[in-house]
Amino acid sequence: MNPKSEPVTLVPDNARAWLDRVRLDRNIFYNLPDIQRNFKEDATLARDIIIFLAHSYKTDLFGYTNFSISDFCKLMGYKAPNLQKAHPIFESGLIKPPTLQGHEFKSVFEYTMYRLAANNIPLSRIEKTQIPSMKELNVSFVQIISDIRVSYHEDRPQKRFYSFKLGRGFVENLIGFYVTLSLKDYLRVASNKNSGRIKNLYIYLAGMLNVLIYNNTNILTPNFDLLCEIAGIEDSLPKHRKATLHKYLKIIAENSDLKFQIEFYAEKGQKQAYSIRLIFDPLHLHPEGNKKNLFFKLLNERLRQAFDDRFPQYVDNFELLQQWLTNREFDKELKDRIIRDVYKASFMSEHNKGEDVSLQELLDIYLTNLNKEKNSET
Amino acid sequence: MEKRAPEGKHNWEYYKARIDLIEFAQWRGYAVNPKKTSRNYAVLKKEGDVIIVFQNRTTGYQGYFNPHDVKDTGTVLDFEFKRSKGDWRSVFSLLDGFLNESEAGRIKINKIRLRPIPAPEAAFDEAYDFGFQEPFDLSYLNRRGISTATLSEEYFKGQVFNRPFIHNGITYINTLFPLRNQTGVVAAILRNVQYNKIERARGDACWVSNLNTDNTNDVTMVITESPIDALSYHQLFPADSLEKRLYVATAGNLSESQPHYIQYLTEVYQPRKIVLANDNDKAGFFQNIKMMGLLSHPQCADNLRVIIQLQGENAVFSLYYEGEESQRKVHVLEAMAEKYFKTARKFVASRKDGGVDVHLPNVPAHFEELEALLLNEKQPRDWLKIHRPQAKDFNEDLIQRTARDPNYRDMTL
Repeated sequence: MNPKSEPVTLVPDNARAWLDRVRLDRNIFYNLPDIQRNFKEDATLARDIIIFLAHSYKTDLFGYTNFSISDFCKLMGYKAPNLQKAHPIFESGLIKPPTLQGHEFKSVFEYTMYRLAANNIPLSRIEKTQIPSMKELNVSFVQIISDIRVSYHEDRPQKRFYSFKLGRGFVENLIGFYVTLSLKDYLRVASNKNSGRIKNLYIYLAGMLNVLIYNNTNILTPNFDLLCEIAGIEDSLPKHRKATLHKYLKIIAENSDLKFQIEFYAEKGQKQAYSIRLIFDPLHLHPEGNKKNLFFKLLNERLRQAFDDRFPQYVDNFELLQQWLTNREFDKELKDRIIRDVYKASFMSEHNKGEDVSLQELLDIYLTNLNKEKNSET
Repeated sequence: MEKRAPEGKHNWEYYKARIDLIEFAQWRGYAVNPKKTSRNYAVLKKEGDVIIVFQNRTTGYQGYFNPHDVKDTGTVLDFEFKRSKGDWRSVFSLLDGFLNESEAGRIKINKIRLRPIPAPEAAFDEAYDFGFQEPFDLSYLNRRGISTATLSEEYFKGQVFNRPFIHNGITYINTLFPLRNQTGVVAAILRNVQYNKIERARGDACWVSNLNTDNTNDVTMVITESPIDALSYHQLFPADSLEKRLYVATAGNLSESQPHYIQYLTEVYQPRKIVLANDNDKAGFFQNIKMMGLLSHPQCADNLRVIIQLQGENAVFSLYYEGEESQRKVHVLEAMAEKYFKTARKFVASRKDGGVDVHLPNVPAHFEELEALLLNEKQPRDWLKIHRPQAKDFNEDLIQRTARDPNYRDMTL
């Protein structure tokens, strides 16, 4: 098939499907192995927390900063006791958990949350320079969480609620510098001991879809070594690495909506077939709804502007902006008006008319979200 | 900054910027009164001469007042000038001598750091004559139920005057109440049966009864909106034999700067208790809370301050703990906001300076909640008390009581 000759099919998506697509900071997408290196055995949980937070930001804009451990487990497929037990590194007693105001961040979940907040994630890239023999290492640091609060009743300490604020750069990238992936696919591609590796690979492939759509093609030719690095495949023999990578890719192709065929082939000059060609089903390649993306972008911009206008004394206080945004009791009428105004502006935009119904659905979802009753427990 | 200006004269700014007035006064033999010295004011004394030093927020220099002599005020240069019998040569010689010793490290005095505060807003104008005359016609006040005996008490001597004026050949008599601040009398309330006006801008000035600053044990400060309410309060609730009273009237709604002067009075007199005796109406209720939020106990290390801002349909209560630990108390303030404004549709914003802003609708219920918060949480507890009149104000209470009790009426004679 000549991919260039066939136009990308546009599959109309509904609002729920759009919401299900998680936005992930493109910096994190580019540097998935960095998370693995930094969080080691907790990398899968750390990445799942990031995905959970990013998902909440899109689906629950007026309440994303509050959740309970059961909310996380329910969405991300964890068992609460596994997350609430003490982290193995503290078992010997040689390493003490971080303790603030008498609260120990000792459980698997809280310790990982703490690390996401306390340590900026280093994201490294080696870039070529103008001088052929010279390379430049660029390390930037991303703050995922800027503030955490843990609340619980003294007589039921295991039932914990968390509030957090996201780092400014992380949120800004969720609006303007992101890749998208299906949460449903992300969760179902793997649930075994290698799930972290397969999920990393899934994120990479899902993130490349937009590149394919942009280039009007359905064939992806990723670098073999890069895919192995992303998937943490470290076998010494290339043939073993190839076998593992093939297995992982097959799992993704069979268990997700990323429908693709895997071909290994030998490029010119190669003795063995270590080049990869992934041929995606054009029916599954469709751009995200532009009107809905515009709605989300405008909504974020207008809400920020409203906050700055309303509270000039807090301009640039990103944590307070998040606190105001997720306070469903306060300025409800103002937020309601902004949602409706943004809907009108997105509706009137010149993007695809076929999207208008789902845009209406999205409006309803956001209004319902705004008017959701405050959870008494949280 | 040069010591002398280009024309050869001494540069005053040079001395004001370099000399710490508290240190200089101690060098001149004054002693700090630690009981009366607070974060805002340092009180120094030498053989009956008392000065109160403050850090002027506007100029950045220290200034002083003499509570016994309103004309004795100014900067370190004024301080020395008044004590050198007006000899500028000896003033500069002493200031230079102090600077030389100070720079040579020969002066060992513990530094007192004062919090910068605003200087008095209104200034005494020597050229302006209010035409105060010793009271000769008390009929207006008597008709309002204030007895001649009350007006003759030491507390009120020199704080109530008359001033006649002629209109169409008829002489009328106004009753005047002087409004003062640290600089002296800057304005006056003019009253008669139909007339109620403030002459000249009052700024931060208040009507204040007399009380010797040397004898400030067991002082109760009573704050009312008008001097007539204060006189009525005194008559309705006489002080017991040991209690001393200091009456302060704001002459209507509290101005922006009056709390600064009232705070100054609390530092000078260190009252054991402050009674907020404002009117029993919306404005009086608001005034009580506003004052409770702003006044600080002079010796309290952790003072809770609340500033109220009204913005149309919204109100903002800015809570803040003064003191070195204020940054650590954000969570205490947040919990307080949650506890006292439980049912409010609010936005609690923690500021980077350690304060917490509570944004909520501008409705009376939230002001009642704020009053409860201040009454319970402001330390020391029971230092500030609200005493609401039965009727609109304490003068109405007094008149009603006079009407009910025929014997009481005799007291006005």
